[in-house]
Amino acid sequence: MSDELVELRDSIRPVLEAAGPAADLDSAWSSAVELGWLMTAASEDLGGLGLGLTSMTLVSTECGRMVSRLPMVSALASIDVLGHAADVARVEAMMAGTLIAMPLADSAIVQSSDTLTGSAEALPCVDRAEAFLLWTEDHSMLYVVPKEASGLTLTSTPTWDATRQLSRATLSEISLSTVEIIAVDDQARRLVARLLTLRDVLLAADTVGVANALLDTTIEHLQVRYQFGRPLAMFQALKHRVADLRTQLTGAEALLENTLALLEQDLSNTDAAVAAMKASTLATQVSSSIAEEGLQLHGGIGMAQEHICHLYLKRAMLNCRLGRQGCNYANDIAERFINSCKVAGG
Amino acid sequence: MVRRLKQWESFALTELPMNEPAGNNDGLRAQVRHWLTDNVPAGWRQAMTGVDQAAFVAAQKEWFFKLSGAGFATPHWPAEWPGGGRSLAEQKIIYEEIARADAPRLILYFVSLYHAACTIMECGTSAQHEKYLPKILAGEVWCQGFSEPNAGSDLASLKTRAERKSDRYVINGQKIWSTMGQYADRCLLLARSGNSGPPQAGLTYFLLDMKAKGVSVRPIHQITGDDEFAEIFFDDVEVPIEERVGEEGAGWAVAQATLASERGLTLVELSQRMRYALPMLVSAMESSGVINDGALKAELGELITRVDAACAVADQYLLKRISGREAVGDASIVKLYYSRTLRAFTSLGLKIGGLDAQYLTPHMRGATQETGAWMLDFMNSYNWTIAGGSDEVQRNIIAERMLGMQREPRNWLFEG
Repeated sequence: MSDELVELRDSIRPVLEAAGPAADLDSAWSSAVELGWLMTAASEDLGGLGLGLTSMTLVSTECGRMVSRLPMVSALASIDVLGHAADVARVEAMMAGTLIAMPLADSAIVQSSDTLTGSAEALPCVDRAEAFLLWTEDHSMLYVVPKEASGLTLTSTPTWDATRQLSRATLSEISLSTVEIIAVDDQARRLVARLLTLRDVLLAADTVGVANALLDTTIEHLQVRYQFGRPLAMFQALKHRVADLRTQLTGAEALLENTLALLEQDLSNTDAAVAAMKASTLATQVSSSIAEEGLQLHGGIGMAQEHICHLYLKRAMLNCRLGRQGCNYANDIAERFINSCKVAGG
Repeated sequence: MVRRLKQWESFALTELPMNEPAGNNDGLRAQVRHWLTDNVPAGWRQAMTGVDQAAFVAAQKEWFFKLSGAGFATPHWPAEWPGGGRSLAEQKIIYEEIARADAPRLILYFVSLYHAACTIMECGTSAQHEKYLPKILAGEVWCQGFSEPNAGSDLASLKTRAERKSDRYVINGQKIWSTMGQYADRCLLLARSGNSGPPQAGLTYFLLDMKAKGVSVRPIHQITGDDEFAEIFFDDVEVPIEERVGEEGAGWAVAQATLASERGLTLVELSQRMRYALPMLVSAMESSGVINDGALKAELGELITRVDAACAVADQYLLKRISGREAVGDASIVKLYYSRTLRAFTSLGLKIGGLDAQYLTPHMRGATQETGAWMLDFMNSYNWTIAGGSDEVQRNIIAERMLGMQREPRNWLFEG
């Protein structure tokens, strides 16, 4: 990690730690804006930090680690993509705190003559958002829908993970004249590909943060909890389970690191999409193991609301269901690999 | 009943993207790739299938001299030696290319080039440097004499005796699991020279001549039908004091140098080999008629991801070493991640292979654990979960030394 990135991390972590886990969204958002965390998503000529993808994922990881309510995956991916669409005004507004939210899960919206109809899942923080960045199912159009657009219905249902506020957007024959089109055709396809890849990587980063924090908390519990006259951490049966979790998590972290190195070169191509799918599918798998084992290793206290364990558990489990198809990419990864073998083998 | 093996030959290697930091080594990569294209023995897998071990040893010697002649066998040696003076980043490239070219592994020479050479360089006298290193370069085969029947994971409890008698030591005892011990010229021997203090304190390290009087070797017949390992028996074997490395009683520290000599490069190579072998699973799915099985596809997708992660773990570990940020336990994670992934790889192969994989196929030698004879590969994958510090030992190291989980008190001993 470069000195600049270390400095960035060291400036983010204490702020999130001081605010505490699942801290109030309003004050967290003001700090994030003031401290320029959103600027990691833009290049220098757009007024951003220009530190690249690694700096964005670092912000996401830190937010995961402190189970922050900040809608960082959505905010960072949107700023990046709007920046790549040369939408300077929106990028500036968003870095100054305007939230244009995007769906964190599947969306299915179709264009029919001059209207848009369909739905998008898991839009974060719609109360705070002023507009929504959406795309058609065939990726041929990327556009911003204002919150007050006629035909737009937002349905908010609380999730078990209280650090997220997710809503469904239903579009019912929204007239194209009320939306702002960012890109169409090939340009739209490139930008949506970028957006989805970025979303996978940022979700993987958030998940890695959650998993690390939960594993640390679990180890700490085992070190201080005494039964049979000794710390639980001294039992080899528990040591080996924890060592396996640490090893799996190191795998997910390393894959994410390698993926970032690959993606820094090009975010929009197919290799990038597959690499991001691998990173997010592994991160969510590992984090769900850590969530399951983490609760068990905490024993009774893990079932109590007063303990932080459940915040991580719920966020980890929700993260496993975000992204395309709930991050369940194993079949896609295999299909693409099988096809690449056929091409190579002739 | 013997069936022909065909998986490996039936597909072309897929080009996979290399994840590496900003490439300033493109020249070396191209050079190594070019040389390997011209020099890897064509059809070596076929040639090594169904042959006896003597033929395998001959082929290993030939490949060693080719590789060392080109300067790619000793990249980790200091610059004053032929082929030496390569940085870790350069060594990584060489091993990645060896994996990519599917070159034979230098199994016969691994202990001599890494364990023996690094131990002698780090802990040996200048006389020992002059005596042994040129011989290693000239193709001397070494084996390791550490484990004993009753000292495996608990290596420090070993009992082979080294008794000092004027200018020599007399060795009595038994070693086990010495890779290629039956072909070795010399042995890195760890023996007990004293009984006072903690068990580690009484050990002394020797460079023993395998042709000395009183040494006898017996190959171990493995469950795979191969015999890559040997037992070594020492019956009043005399070792001159000049063949001792380090002081008497300092053997444990010297042994640590031996064990640290691989520097993560082996697992860079092996995880890349596993990655390049992934198309074998696709090929096996095709020949077993299960290429459209959704459940198997999902398993394949998960495995591909894990194999990529194993490569990434080895990559990131090496980057840490290069920048001097290696922490205690990191190496254990690399090994544990690789060993578990290899088990998953071979288990999936075995599942895909179905009943066909249960029929005997001619043995392919020197092909690591990815031969496409899935039952063989499955059994061989245990080499990595047991040898070189078992998974259980690695988990202890990770939990206790890296994560700070409390150790059990030393005095909890079972009297038995």
